[in-house]
Amino acid sequence: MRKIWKILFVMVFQFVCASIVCAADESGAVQSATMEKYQKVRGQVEALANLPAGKRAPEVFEQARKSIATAQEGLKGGSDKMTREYTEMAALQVILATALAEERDAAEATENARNLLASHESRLATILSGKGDK
Amino acid sequence: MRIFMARFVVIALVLLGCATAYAEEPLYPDYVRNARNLVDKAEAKSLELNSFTDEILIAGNFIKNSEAEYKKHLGWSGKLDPAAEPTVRYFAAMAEIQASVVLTKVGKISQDKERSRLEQQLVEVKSKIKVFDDKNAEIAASKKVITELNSALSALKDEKEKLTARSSALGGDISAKSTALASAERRITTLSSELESCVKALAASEKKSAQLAADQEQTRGEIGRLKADLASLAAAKGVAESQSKEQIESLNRQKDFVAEVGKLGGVIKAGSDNMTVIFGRSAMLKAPKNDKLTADGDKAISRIVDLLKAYPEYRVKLKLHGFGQPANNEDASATDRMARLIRETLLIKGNFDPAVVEALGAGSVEPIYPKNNPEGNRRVEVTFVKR
Repeated sequence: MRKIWKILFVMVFQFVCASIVCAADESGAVQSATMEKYQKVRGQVEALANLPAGKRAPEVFEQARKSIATAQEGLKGGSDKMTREYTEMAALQVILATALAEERDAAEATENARNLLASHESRLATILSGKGDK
Repeated sequence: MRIFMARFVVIALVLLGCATAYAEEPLYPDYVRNARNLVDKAEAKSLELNSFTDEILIAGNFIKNSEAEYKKHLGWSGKLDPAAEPTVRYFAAMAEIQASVVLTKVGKISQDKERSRLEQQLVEVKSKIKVFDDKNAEIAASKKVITELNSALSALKDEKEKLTARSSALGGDISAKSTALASAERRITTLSSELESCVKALAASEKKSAQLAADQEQTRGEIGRLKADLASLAAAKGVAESQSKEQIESLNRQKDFVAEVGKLGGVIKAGSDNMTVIFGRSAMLKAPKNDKLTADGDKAISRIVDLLKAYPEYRVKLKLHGFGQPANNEDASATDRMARLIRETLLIKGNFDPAVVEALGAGSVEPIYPKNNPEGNRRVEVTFVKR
């Protein structure tokens, strides 16, 4: 019987803690960790404008700016959840922009290589067809 | 027991139905389905590459969270609680972004692989082209060689044409030469016959020539004798000329000598082979002792010395004469002493050999004037005699 009471006490305690956390979360107090992360990601987004990623993936850069702006709104509104979520989204978008820029660079390099190969193949084909080299 | 079993089956069927009903997936909104599709696609790519598992796990969690939130807030009427929609959208968007990151990275890898493949292919194509380029270079070099050979061939052709033309010209020349040769042969025949006649004539000429040679030999001997005679005559002539020249020179010299002797100032007495100059004794020697020369005597002796030096073919004979009283001053002994004085003076002044000057005191035995002219008889005779 005593064991059942102990279990019930633990469950009630966890519920109360969770309620407190949720209440704090919803109450408008933005946590310092969220603030730090926001500041860091905001710096990354701002720096992105001067990096190749900001120029090579402008649409994602724009999305990141919007996300960080939304996070800022959450910050102003005192919503830790909103601030945290959109900060994380902006951070992920920064990563996406960087990856996208690299992919586009790689694609461009591949295209250049393809064009070069095509021109060489064309030259080779001309040679093989017996028309001679130009 | 049967009743228990029946109840159990009914309860199991009800539970199964509920579970089935609960397990059935709802129709998610488009943004969730799109995100799910993207995550599935990324997952498939990740599995292909066996990479990005963490990112795919995160994306999967996001989409699961989205779906869970959706399901959680889906009402009985099938509508999502509007308050939960931002959260559902957030998770869906995050899943989509994460999946996009994975797909982008996968795309980059595939681009890199493709580029690597293309570059490899490019290397192969370049190597093939290089083979042709090398061949082209060889062909170009060969063409150059061929061009050079062609130009050389062209030059050789030109040379050949020139040689052909020259050969033609030579052919003409040969023809002309043949004609000339034929005429030359004819001429040789003619000349041969002429030569025979000439040979005969030559034989006759040789005979004549032998005879002429004999005559010539005889004539040569004659000429030799004549030449010898001429040479002896010429030699004789030369000797005569030389002798005449010497004689002329001698006579001229003798003439000059006589003129010089005449300048001595005494009385001249010429002999056949000598010449004597007579001086007064008082002019030569100081009286009364007569042991010293006067100034005029000294001058006269100096001039005699000069004359003897200029004409060394002469020598001198001194003869001193006395006359009258006192007899011891005029006798041979006294005059001989005077003569030696003059001789010594001559020898010293002229540094002559003693044989050049001969002195003699004659005394008073050879007067040339009467007795009343003693001073005339007292004299010094200087006779120049050829050696």
